Amino acid sequence: MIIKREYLSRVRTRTFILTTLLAPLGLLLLLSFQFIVLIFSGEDWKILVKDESSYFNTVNVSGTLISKLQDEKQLNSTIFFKATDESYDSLKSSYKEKGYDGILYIPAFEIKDSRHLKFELYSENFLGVNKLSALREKLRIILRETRIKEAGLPDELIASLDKIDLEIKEIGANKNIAKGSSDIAYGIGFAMGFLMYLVIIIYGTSVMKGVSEEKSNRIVEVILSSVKPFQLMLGKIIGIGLVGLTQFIIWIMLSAGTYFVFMLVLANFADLSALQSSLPQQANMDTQMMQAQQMAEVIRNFPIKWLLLIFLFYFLGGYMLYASLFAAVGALVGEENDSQALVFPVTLPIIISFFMLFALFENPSGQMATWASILPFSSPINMPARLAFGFDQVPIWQLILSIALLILGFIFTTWIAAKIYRVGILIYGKKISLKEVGKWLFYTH
Amino acid sequence: MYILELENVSKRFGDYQALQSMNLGIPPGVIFALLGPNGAGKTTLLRIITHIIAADSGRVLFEGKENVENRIRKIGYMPEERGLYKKMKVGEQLRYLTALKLGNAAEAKKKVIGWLKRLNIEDWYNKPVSELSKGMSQKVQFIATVAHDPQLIILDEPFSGLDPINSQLIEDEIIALRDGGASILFSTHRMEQVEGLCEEIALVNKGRLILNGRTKEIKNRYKKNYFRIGIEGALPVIEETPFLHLEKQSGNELLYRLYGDHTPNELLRHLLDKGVELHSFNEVLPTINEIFIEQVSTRNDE
Repeated sequence: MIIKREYLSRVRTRTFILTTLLAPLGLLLLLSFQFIVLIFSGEDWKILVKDESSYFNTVNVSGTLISKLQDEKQLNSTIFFKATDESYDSLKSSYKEKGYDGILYIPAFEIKDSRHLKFELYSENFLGVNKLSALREKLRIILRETRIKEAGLPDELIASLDKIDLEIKEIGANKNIAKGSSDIAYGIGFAMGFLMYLVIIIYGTSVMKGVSEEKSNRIVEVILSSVKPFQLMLGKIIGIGLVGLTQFIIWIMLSAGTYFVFMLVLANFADLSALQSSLPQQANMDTQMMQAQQMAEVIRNFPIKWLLLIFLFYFLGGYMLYASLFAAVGALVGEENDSQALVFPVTLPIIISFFMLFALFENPSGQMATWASILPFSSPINMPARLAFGFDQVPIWQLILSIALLILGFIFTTWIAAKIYRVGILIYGKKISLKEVGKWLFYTH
Repeated sequence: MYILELENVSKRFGDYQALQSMNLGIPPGVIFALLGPNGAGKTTLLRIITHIIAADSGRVLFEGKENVENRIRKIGYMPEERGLYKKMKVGEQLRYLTALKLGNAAEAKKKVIGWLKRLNIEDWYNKPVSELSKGMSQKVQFIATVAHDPQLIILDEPFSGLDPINSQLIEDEIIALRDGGASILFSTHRMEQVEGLCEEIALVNKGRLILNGRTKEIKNRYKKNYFRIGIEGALPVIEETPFLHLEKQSGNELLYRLYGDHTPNELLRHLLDKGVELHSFNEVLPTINEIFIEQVSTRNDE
């Protein structure tokens, strides 16, 4: 049995190494791709503004409105604006020679009662959805300010309109654990639930495939002449479980490393751009930095160690629970094609528990969440996610009950699966009805 | 002393009685054939012996004891449907299967390498099984069966689906193993194919043991005193005697049956007296197949 365990993990080495290394590599690639897109998608735009309404050239609280538009920073790229008096038509032919990328044409309009305004952006290239909407929003705000000013409000009041910065801080009633911000709990909880869901499905099916492979190429008879069916099944489940665990640990280490490197690069990059940018941007950067620091603080306060332990426990429990069922299904099917119908009853509870996760996020201490995190079929996906909202969220008796039920649950499914497995693995050729499977459960030996 | 003994072994699958109080003994150092049509219960019996499934009742004794560990350790089993892990390499695979039997990885490795050398296929060690031809994987499967030096080698339908060359190969290996001191128990439904090979047989039908014993004895026990006579030239008229009956005549071949206690010499004398020019003379022993059919039909009549 021990040999088999070692063995199975070794058997899978080739694909194992590939997936273990490629998955984080893929993640890294994805991340860096996003990063690269961020850097290179943003080219600076220089836009000439032909303003016939003259609202944008007038002097305002903070300089001309056009200067407000100036240096609109959007996704690592900057839009520069320059006002002009030339006629729109002549600009159309000359803007490129002047070194601009486009013309923003603002027709004459009456600010008091215009509801629908139409400006034109004349260019050879497209600005892109993000920049366009940012530009529109900026213009809208300026117009709004202007309209308020026209209505006769004093400048100070207008200036103060933008000075409100609101943050809602949640404070945990329990003093033991600093309550994480809901967003991060949500993120971590979802990541864990999703990972659990993936892992159970992936390794469960790999147990099933392994069993049905052994059955369909008949090697199982040879092996069963040496060991008991239960030993073979358990050996396979444990072997693949260990593979999963190893993979997991490597992933955690790799992603931690990747994250670290990524952050380092990001920090360097931020330093660089901070040096190049002007003062108002510096301020912007500072708030960003502060936000990042706050986030890091929350993450640091998170009971990662405990959560990881709980996660590993539920991973093992959930995996054992479902893997033995998958093994039983594998023993029933043999040939791949008719497996779907039998796999469904096993995957269904996994999928349902995954959807329960969303209900859990709506209300982490609601009834649905409580049951989902206690019942053994859904607890592996739901309990760690619930705990991510803080350990004080879950009464200790619920946690203990959940753990106990999970242990009982997997002992129970393993017992049932062993019975089905023992009979099913040696039956070839005929289709097996669920009724017959039911009968096997009562075979005494 | 038998190497393997079955006492009143029975097995049911639901409503189907697969084996009915089976008693069987296999002595050491013989080639033993388990014969019977499809569905007679041969595979079930072998699976009980190899401890793949448990009998409902009865005992299985190995070397006179009910010790399962020892039995598993000293039996080598090759199932009817052969299978190996396709993606695994030959060497790894054999080491794994042998180690499961021996419980000792280092020893398993030594034995596997020894066998690969013995069959001159050391260079297959790192080949994946999926690259082997059918005959080649046959050899690998065979090594997997015998690498742990079993005392009893059980082969379920070893000849099914084999071409004559591979059949011969298996046959030679069976004999070599017997000469090495092991007992070989194999099942087959192609009875005529194995008559020359097996020293003892057991006939099984519908889960029951019909006949069991040394092949020669059984044949003698059920012989019907048929004699095939080859002659030259025309056949003179030979009147029937009470003890002699001409069963069949085709060309120059006559088939006589002797009744009573009369010896073949009397038949010959009788023919010679009539001036028959004799060319050949053989006793026709019944084939296992014939004995089987006769036994099954008489039993059904009962």
